[in-house]
Amino acid sequence: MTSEEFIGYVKTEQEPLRRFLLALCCGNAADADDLAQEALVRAYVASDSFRGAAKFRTWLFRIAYNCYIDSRRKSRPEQDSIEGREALAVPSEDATDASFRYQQLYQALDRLPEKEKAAIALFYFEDRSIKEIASILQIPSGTVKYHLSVGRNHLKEYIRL
Amino acid sequence: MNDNELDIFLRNTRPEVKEDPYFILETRRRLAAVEGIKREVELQHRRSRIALLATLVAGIAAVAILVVLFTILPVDAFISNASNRIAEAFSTLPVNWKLFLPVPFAAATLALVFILTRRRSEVRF
Repeated sequence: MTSEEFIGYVKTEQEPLRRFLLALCCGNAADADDLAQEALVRAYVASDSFRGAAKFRTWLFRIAYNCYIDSRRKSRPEQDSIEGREALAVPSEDATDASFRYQQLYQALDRLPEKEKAAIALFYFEDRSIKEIASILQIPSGTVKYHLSVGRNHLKEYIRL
Repeated sequence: MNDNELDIFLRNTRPEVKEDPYFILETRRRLAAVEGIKREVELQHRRSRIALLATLVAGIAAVAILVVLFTILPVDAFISNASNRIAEAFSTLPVNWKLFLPVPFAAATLALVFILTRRRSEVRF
């Protein structure tokens, strides 16, 4: 795959990729974009091994998720606290209600374990099927359903509207 | 909050990504850097392969010259001129062990085949 072909794919996939990572990073847009760039570089380096058997998007999301997990392992827990962040990625209209809802969402996501958070983000924000989520997270479909169910219960408990 | 309310909340609170024209530019810049690194690594691989081949050819040539010398020159001449036992033993080596002479050539050939057919290493980050 040439770099121009790769850039062509990236142009169509960058928004869902960045949104997925934004959800995983609980609203930290700078971290999410850094991870997206890292994932794209990794994907480009490994693009010779991409044979088109899996969808490009699924393959790219799997790499992005692995990048996120690697970054979480490297970072210290005290740096990841959502309370310490200066700005969360809230919508541009900046309505108080919307800001409140996004703050609730990101704080709730921040308390979820990685797999639950990823499953919720892919299912609700990216409209991915259970099979695709299983392929991205590299876990069986039944386990995805379990994470979704437990994640939903956690979110119901954490989100106070 | 019940299941329906949560579903509605999540569907309506999808994280929004801000338009960033520099994202693709930054991606292009990083991919160009990766290409540069790939080219440099490829160059290093080529150099190391050439060095390996040169060493192998030099080794084969040296062994061939030695074998030719031992084959042409009479063993007696070596023995009569030899001043110590090591030289004497060394000079009779090809005569005593001539059955094993193809072994280094076979080894060299195998090494050559290995070097020439070895797959190019992938760049890993």
